[in-house]
Amino acid sequence: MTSAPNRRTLNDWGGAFWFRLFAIAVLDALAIYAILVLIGTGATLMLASLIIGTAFINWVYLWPRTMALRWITPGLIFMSIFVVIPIFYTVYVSLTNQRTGNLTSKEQTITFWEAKTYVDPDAEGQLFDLFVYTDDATGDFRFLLANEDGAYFFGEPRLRTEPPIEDGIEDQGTFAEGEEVPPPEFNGFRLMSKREVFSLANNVDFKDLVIDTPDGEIVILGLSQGRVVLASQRYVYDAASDTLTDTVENRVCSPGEDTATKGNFVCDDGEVLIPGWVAFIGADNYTRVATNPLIREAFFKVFLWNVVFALLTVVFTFAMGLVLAITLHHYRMKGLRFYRSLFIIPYAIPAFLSILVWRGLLNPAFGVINATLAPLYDLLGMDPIRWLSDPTWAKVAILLVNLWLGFPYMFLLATGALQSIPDDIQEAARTDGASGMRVFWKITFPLLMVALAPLLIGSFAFNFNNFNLIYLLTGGGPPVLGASVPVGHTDILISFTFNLASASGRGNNFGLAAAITMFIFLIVLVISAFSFRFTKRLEEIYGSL
Amino acid sequence: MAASDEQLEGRVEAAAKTGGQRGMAFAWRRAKQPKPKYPPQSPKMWLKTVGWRHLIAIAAAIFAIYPVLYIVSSSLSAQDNLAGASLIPKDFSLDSYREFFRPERPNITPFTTWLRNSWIISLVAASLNVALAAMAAYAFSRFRFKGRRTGLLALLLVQIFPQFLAFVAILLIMINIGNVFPAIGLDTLAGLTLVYLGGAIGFNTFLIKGFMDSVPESLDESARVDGAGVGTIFWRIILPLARPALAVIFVISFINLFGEFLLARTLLSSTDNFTLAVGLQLFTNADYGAKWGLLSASVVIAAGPIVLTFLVAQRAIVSGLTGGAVKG
Amino acid sequence: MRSRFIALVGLVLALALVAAACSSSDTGEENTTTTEATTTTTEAVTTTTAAPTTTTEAEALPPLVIWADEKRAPVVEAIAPAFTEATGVEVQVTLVDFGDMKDEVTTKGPAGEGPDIFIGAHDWVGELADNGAISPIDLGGRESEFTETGLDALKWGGQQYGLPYVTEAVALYYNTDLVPEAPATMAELTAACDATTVDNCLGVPGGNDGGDAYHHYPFLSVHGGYIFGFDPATGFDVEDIGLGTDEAIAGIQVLEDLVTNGYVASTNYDDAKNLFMGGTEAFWLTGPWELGALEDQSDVNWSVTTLPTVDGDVMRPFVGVQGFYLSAFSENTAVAEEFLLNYVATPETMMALFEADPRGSAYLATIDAISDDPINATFALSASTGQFMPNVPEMGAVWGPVGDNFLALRNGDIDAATAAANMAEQVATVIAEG
Repeated sequence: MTSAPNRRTLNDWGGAFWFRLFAIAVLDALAIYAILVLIGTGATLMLASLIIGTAFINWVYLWPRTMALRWITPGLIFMSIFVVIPIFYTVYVSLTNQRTGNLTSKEQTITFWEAKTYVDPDAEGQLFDLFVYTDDATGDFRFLLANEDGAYFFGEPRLRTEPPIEDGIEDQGTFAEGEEVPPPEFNGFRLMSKREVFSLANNVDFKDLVIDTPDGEIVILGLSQGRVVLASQRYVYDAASDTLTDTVENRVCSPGEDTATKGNFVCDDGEVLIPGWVAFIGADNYTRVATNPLIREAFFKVFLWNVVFALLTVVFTFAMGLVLAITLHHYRMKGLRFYRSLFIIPYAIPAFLSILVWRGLLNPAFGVINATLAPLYDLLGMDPIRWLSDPTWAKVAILLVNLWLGFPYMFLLATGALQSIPDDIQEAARTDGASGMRVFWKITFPLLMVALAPLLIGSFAFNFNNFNLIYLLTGGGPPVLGASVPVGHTDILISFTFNLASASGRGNNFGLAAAITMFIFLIVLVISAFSFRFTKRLEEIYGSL
Repeated sequence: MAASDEQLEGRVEAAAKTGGQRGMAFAWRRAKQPKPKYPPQSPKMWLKTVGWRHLIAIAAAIFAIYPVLYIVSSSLSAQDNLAGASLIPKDFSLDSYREFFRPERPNITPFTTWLRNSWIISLVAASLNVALAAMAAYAFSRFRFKGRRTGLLALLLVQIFPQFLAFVAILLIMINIGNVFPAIGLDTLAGLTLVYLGGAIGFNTFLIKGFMDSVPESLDESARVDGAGVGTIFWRIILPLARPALAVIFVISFINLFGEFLLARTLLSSTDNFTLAVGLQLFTNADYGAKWGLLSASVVIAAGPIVLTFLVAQRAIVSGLTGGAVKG
Repeated sequence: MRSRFIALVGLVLALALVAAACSSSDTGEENTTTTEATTTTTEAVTTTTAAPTTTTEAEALPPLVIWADEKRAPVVEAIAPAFTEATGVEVQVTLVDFGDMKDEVTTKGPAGEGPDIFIGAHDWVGELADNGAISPIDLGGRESEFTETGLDALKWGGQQYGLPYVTEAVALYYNTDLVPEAPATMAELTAACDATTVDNCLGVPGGNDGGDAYHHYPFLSVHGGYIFGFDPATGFDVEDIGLGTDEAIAGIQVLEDLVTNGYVASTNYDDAKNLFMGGTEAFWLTGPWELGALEDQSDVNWSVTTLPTVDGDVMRPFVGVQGFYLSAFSENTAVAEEFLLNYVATPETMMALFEADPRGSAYLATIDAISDDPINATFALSASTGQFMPNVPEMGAVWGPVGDNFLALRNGDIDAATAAANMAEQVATVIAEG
C-alpha cells in the first residue's frame, strides 16, 4: 500500500514546533500544580493516573517517533478519563459489596459510629438557650446556657472527639429577676452577634461540641439551644485492633470475615452494624448472578425478547429506510428535498421528548392513535387496543416508536449508499438481461450490505442496551404474571438489571448490578463479534490494516 | 439471456474493489451539477415510474410528522392540558410561547437560561468532538503504526460497553477534578463539556476515517513532493475534502448532546446551570399532563432550530454520513 | 540528536516549573488556609473566631444547600432572604426531582457534593438511615407543634430523623353534578354509579399502563390485609408479610368485583385525572395534591368525602409523611438545624408550603388554620383513619410486585386470589434473594 509519510525529526523547528512546546509547558505547569494540591489530599489513585497521564503526553509530544499518537492522543485523553475509567470502575464495583448500607468509605463509617451518642432514654434532659461569648483579645470563646428560670451554665466547649476534661463549667448560678438575659458582657467576655455565631458555626459544627460537667455532658443541639443531659459517646474505635467498642452494651465489634458481613462491623453477640463500608468481596457477585434463582428464572425470557427487540428494530428501521431511499432514488422523482426534509425530522428531536409525546399518542382512552382507529374498531367489532398494557401490543408499540425514532438514520444511510453505487454496474446487469428485482437483490443489495453492515451491527449493539426507550415508554411493563420476580414483558436485560439493582431486598445493590453489566457486555460482545465475522466488510476494514 | 448469478456476483466484487478509487469524497460535489430536463410522460407512465413512489413517500411523511404536528398544534393551543390536545388547535394562542420567554419567570425555571446553556455546551462540545475525531481519524487513515488494528478494535469495544454505572464513576472523577480546578469541576458548563468530549473518538472516528480513506493518497503524495508536512496535508488537503463527514458528525453530535440528560442531570446541580434537557425533564416529571402546552412550546423552541439546520444542511449530511462507510 | 532531545526536555520542564510556580504562588496559599480552617481542632477554632471580631464583615460563608423539588423549591427560596439577612449565610436552593432525590443524596452525599437539607418522603427513612446518609434532628422541645403521626413516621431506631411537614392520605373526590350526595358505603357508591350515565364511574389510578400500589392500598387493607406486620414497640416486621392472607384476598376481591362490574375502568394516573377533570367520571380516589389542579384547570363542580366503608369495614389508606431531612454529610448541621427550627417550623412558612402544594400539614398551627375548610378537614379525617406507609428499606421490594399485580387485576388478567398469592410470593422472594 502506501508508504508511511516521512517521519519528521527535531530538525523541524517550525512555528508548529514552538507552539507544541509552549502547549506542553502550560499543560505540565497545570499538572504540577494539580500534583502539588493532590499530594496534600491523599487522593493516591488520582495522583498516580495524573502523573502517568502527564508523562505519557510529554512522551508523545516530545519523543520524535510518535507521529500517529500525536494525532490520536487529544481524543484518547478524554476517552480514557470519561469512558475507559468508568469501565474499570464498573469492574471494580462488581468485585465489591457496594449496596444500600455499604456506600461509604471505612473512615466515614467509623466517624458515623463514633458520632453516635448514648442518652439514657429515661433522662430526657433539660433544654437551655445557648449564647456565645468571645474574648476579642485572645479569640477564646465560651458558651452561656440559660433556661427560663434563669439558671445558667458558663463554660468552655470541647470537640466531642477530644478526651473529656474533668469540668468545663467555669461559672454557674441563677440570674436575678429583671436581669438582662443574655447580658452583653459576662465574666469579661463579649456576647457575639448572631452573624458572628453563624460565621463561627461554619468552621466548627456546633453539634460536634459538648461541655463537660461533673454530672455529664451538655449536648449542643443547634446554634441557639443546648440540652443538659447525661450523654456519652457510645462507640469507640481502636485503630490498633481495628475494632469498635460499644461502651453501653459492653461488647466489641470487629470487621466481618465472610462475604455476607464483609464491610460491616460484627459485634460479639452477632449483631451486624449497619451502615458499613464498601469492601472487596471478590467474585461473589458473579457467582450470585449465576446461581441466583431470581435472575436465572427471568433471564432467558428477558434475553430472548432483548435479542428479538434489537434485531427487529434494526430490520424494521433498515427496511423502511431502504424502501424510502429506493423510492426516492429515481431520476424522474421530484420533491426529493421536500420528502427528505420531512423524513429526517424525527431524527432532529431529542428522543426523550419524542418518547413522552408517543406515550400520549398511544394512550388507549385519549390518545390520538386510538381516536383515529376508532372507526376501524367499530367496523371489526373489537375493543380498542391497549397499547402499552397488553403484553403483545406493548411490544408492537415499542417497535413502532423505535421505528419512528430510527428510520430517518437508516434512510440517510441508505440514500448515501445508493448514490455511491455506480449506476453503470446496474445498467450493465440490466443490459445483460437481469430483471429489476434481480438486479436489486443480486447487485444493489449486496453492495449496500457490504457498505452498511458494520453500521447495522452498531445499531444492533446500541439498541440491545436501549435503556432509555424501554424505561421511558413502558418501564418494562406490563408485568409478567405469576413470575416469582418482578419482571415485565418488555423488559430488556439492562432495564431488568436496573430494577433488580434499585429495588432489591434492601434498597440498591450496585455490586450485583455491575456484575450483571459485565455479563451483558460479554453477550453483546459475542453477538457483535459473531456478526462481524459474517460480514465481508470486517475484512474490508481490518484485513488491510 | 439473463445474466447468471456468478456474473452478477463478479460485478459486485469488481464494484467493491473499484469503489475506493472512485473517491466518494467527491460524490457531494458531483451532485451539485444541474439536473438534466426530462421529456414529459403520459399519466399512465407517470404512475408507473414515479406515481407510486410519491404514494409511498407521502405515507411515510405522514408517519414521520404526525407526532410533530401534534406537538406543534398543542403548543399553539390555548388548552394547556394533555386531554384537550388535538391535531388541529381548537383555540389558537401564543400563550405557551409567551410564557416560555416571559422575562419574570420564577428563577426556579429559567427556560431561556437553560436554552442558552444547551446551545453553548452543544456547540462547543460538538465542534471539539469533530476536531478530536478528525485528528484521530487522520492518524488511523494515513499512518501505518504498531497497534493500529488493536486501536481500532479497542475503539469499537469501548463503545459497546453498557454505560450503566458510568455516571457514578464520572461523578467521582469530576468531584476530584473540581477539587483542584473548580472552574472545570462539578456543576460547571465547562466541566460538562469536557465530559462530553469523552465520546469524541469512537464511532465518529470510524465514519471520518472511512471518508478520509476514500481521498486518494496520491493527493498526499504529490503534496509531500511539494514539501508539505503532515500537518499541512491534514489542514490543506484532507480536512477540506472531508468536510461533509465533518459536517454530519457535527450535526449528529450536536443533536445528541442537545438531548442528553442523564449525565447533565448528574453533573449539574444549580438551576442556572441546567441544560434545557435537564430542566424540561424535571419540569415534566412533576405532573406533565397539566403543563402540556408549555412543554410542547419548549419542544418546538428546542428542536426547531435543529430541524432547520438539518434541512439546510441535508445534502452534506447525506453524503457525509455515508461517504466513508461506502468506500467499498 | 540525542543531546538535542535532552535539551528539549529540559527546556519544557523549566518552562513548566516557572509556570507552575506562578500559578501556585497565589492559589496554593489559599489552599493551605482552608485546610487549616476545616481541620476541627480547638486551635483552629480559636484562630478563626478572632476573624469576625476584628473585621466586622465576616468572610464569605459556605452556603446552606437545600434540595427541593419543583413545587417546594420556590417556597424555600422565598424564606431564604430573611435567613441570610439575619445570619449572613447564603441559602442555595437546588431543584431535584422528587423521584431522584433519594438516589442523588446517597450517591452525591458521601462524595461531599450532597445537600445540607433535603425534602423527602418518610418511607425513605430506613434506607437513608441505614446508609448513614441522614442525621437525627433534635426538635428541642418543640415536638408538640407537630402531629404525632408525622413525628412517628420519621422515627428510625428510636431516633427522630427529619422535621415533618406533610401528613397526607387519599380520599374520595366526587362530581357533585353527577352524584348529589356523598356515599358512605361501597353499596351507596355503586348505587350512585348505577344512577349516572358515565362510563367510568370510579377512577382509581393504577390501571392501563401504570401499576400503583399506593392508590390500591385501601382495598388491600379494608378487611385486614397489610404489607408488613407492625408492632409499635419493635416497628415493622418484614418477615410477616400480610399480602397473601384471606383478609387481603377479601379486600382485593372488592376491587375485582368493581372492575368486573364495570365500575372501575382501567385508567392510569393521568387518565383518571383527565376523566374527572373533564366531568366524565363520578368518583376519583386520590390525594390532596390535586386540589390545585382541580381549582385552576377544571370547570367541574366537585367535593371530597372520606373513603366508603365496605360491609362496615373502613378502607384504610396509606398515610404518607414528608419532611425536611438533615444530611449526615453536611458540614454544618447546626446551621441547617437552626434554619429548620427557626425558619421552616414557623406558622408562616408552613402555611406557605401548604399553599404552594395543598397537601395535609403535619404542623398543628397550620392544621388549625386550614381545617375550617371542609375539604381540608375531610383529608385530615381520612389520614386519621389511615395506616402508616412502612418506612423499612424492604419497601423497595414491595412497590413493584404489588403495583404490577394490581395492574394485571385491573386489566382483567388475573383474579384476586392469584394477585394476592403472586404479591406475597414475589415480595418474599425478592427480600430473601435480592
